Amino acid sequence: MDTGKPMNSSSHVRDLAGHPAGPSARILSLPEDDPQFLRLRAMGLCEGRKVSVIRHGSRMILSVSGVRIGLDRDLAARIRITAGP
Amino acid sequence: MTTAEISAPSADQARPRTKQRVRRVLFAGNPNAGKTTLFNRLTGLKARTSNHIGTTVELRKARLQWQGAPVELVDLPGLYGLDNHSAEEQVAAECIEHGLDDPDVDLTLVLVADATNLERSLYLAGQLRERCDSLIVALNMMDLVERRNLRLDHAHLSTELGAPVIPLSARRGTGIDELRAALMGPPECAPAPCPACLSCKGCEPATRYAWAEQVTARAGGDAGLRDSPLTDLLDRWLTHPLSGLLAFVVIMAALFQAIFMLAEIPMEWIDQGFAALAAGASARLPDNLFASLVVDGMLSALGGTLIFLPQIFILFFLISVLEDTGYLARAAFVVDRYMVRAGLPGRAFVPMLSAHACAIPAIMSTRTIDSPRDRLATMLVLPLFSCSARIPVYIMVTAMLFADRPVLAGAVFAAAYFLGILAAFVSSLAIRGTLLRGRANPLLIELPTYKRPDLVTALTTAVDRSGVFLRRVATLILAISLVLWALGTFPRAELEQLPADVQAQVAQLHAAEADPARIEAAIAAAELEYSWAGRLGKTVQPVFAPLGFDWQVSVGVLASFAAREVIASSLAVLYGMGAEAEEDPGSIGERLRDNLPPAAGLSLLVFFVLAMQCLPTQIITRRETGGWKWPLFQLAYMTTLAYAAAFLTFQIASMWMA
Repeated sequence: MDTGKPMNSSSHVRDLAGHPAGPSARILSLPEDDPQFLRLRAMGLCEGRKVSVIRHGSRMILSVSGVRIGLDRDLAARIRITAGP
Repeated sequence: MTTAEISAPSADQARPRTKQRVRRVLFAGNPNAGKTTLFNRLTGLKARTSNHIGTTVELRKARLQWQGAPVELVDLPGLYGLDNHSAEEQVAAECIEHGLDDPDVDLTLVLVADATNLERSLYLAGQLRERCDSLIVALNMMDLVERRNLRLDHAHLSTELGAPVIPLSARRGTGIDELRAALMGPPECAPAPCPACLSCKGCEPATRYAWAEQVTARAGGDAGLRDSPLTDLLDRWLTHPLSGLLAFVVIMAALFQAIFMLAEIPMEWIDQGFAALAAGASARLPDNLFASLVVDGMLSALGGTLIFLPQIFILFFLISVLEDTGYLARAAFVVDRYMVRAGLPGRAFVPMLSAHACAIPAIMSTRTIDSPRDRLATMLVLPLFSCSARIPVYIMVTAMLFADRPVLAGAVFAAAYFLGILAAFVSSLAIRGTLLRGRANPLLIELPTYKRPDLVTALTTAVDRSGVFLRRVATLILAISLVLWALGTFPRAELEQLPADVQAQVAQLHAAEADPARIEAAIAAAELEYSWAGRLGKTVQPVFAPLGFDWQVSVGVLASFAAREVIASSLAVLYGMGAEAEEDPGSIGERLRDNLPPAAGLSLLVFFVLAMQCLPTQIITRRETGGWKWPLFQLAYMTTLAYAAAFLTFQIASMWMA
C-alpha cells in the first residue's frame, strides 16, 4: 500500500492507466489545451481531485466524486496521478 | 426597507414603457441532472424545439402566461461548464449574454442541480452566478437523497451561493410550486463575483472544484452518493467486454423487434385511412386533372410519408427510455472499441440504429457526437443502412426471385440488410482514410446512475421528434411527389396519339369485352410511356442496360431518385397493372419475373440497397453540414457505389446462372 508515504515521492507518480482498480489516487496533472482534457476538467477530472479506477481495459471506467466516467485508455495514460488518498 | 428596494420602482418608472417587459427564464444544468424532466413539468407539451441561430444546437422554448404576465422558458443544452469548449457551451453563454443585453427582458437563470452529485453542479453554479446574480438553484433528485436517509442543508447552501435554493423532485413533482413562486419574484440580473473566491473572474477548474467540494461538505452532501450498489452490480455485467456485448446484442434486437411489431398496427391504420380517403376523393371528384393531382399526387405522397411516423415515434420513445435508464451510455461504452475500427465513435451507434427506420431522424440525432469530423463521417454513411422505405423494394425483388422458396427469400432479405451495414462500415473506413483523415475521438462519456425511466419525458421527446420530422419532411415529400406526378402526367396523350400497337391492343380488349380496369391500365401504361418521365426513361435506358434494367425499371429508378419508395407504385403503372397492384409489392415482383432475367432482379436489389435516392435526407444533410458540398458528395459516392455493385452483380450472376 502507498498510504503513509510522502505524497510527493516520485515513485508514486504514475499515469492513471497504470493505477490498479480500487484504491483512490489524486490527480497531479493533465495535458493543457487539448479539447478532450478541457472537457474532462469541466466534468470534474482536474488537478488535485480524487479519482479511482472501477474497470480496466482498452476502455476504462473511472469514478470521480461518485460520478462514473468511461474513458479511452489512451486518454487515461496521459493523466499523471499520485497514489494514495 | 433598504435603499435598493426603494430605488428599484423609481428606476422602473423612469424607463419608457413601449412594450411589455418579458420575463425570460433560462434552464441550465449538467447532462443527466433531470433538467428536461423539470422543464416538462413546468411547461407541459407547450415547448417547441428550434435551432439556435446559425448553429445545430437545439433549444426548447415555451411561452407561457404566469399570473397574467408573459414568461418565456428556455431549456439550454446540457452542460458541464461555461468554458466555451463546445458548441453547446457557446450557445448557452450567448443566450445568457443576449438576455442581459436586451432591455426588454428580465432574465432569471435556473440551475438544475443534481442533489446526488452536488459538486459538479456547483462547478456550473459558480460560473453561472458569475454571469448573472439572478440565479435560482433547483436542487433536483431530493427524493433519492431522502431515500438514503441523508440530510442536505439547502438553507446553508443558499447562504454560501448567495442564491435561493429550492429542494425538489422533478420526477415526483414535489417542490415545483415553490420553484414557480420563486420564479415570480423580482428579478435582477447583474454580473457578480465568482463565489469560489469572490474576487477573480475565470477561476481554474481545480480552484472551482476545490470550492465546490468544500461547500458540498459543509452542506452535508456526500460525494460517494451516486455509486449505488445497483449501478455497481449492473455495470459489472453490462460494461464487461463479453457479457456487455451479449447484453447489447440482445437489447438492440429486442428494441428492433419492438419498433417493427408495435408500429405494424398504426401503420396499417394509416395505410387504410389514406386508401379510404383516396377512394372517397375519387368518387366525389370529377374524373379530371385536378382529381388526379389530389389522389395520385397529394394523397399518395402524404400517405407514403405518414406511414413512417409510427416507427419514428416508437423509435424515439424507446431510445429516450433507454437513455433515461442510463443504459445507452453503457451501450456506447461497449461498442466503442468496435466502432473505432471503422473510424466512427461509440456514440454513433444510436444514429445507426435510428437509420434502420429512417435516415432523417438518424442524421438529426448525430448531434450528440462532439467531434465535428466524427459527426460528419457518421452522417455521410447513415443513408446506407436499410431504412423502412427500402422494405417494399426488398419484398418486390424477393417475390420476383424466390416466390415459392420462403427460406431463400428470407436469406436474401437478411443479406440486403447486411450488405447495407457492411457498405456503411467500409465507406466509413474509406472516408476516414481519405477525406476526413484520422481516427475517431477517443471515448469520453459520463456513465450516469441507473434509474427508472420517466415515461412522460420519453413521450415528450417522441412527440417533439415526430413533430420535427413532419414539419421538415412532409412538405418536402409533398413537393417532390407533385413534381413526379407532373412528369408522369404531362404531356397528356389522347388515345389517337398513342402508338398504333397500343391502339390495336385497346381495340382488341374492347372487342373481347375485357374488364374495364384492364383496358384503363393498358392506357395508363401507354400514357406514362408517352409522358416526360417515359421519354426520359427511354433516353437513359442505355445507361442502365449493363445492370440488366429494361426501360420500365429505368423510369422507376429515375422516378425514385428523390424518394425510393416511389419505385413500387411507378412499376405498377409502367407495367400496366392498375391501381390495386400499387399496394402490393409482391404482385409487382411476379410481373418483374416475366420481364427481367433473375440476374437483373438481384442487381436491382443491390442498387436499391446502396443508392442514395432520398432527397429529404439530402436536404437534412445540407442543413446539418451548412452547405451542398457534403450532400452532393453523398449522392455521388453512393450512386457510384450502387451502380458499380449492381453492374458486378448482374454480370457475375448472369454468367453463373447461364
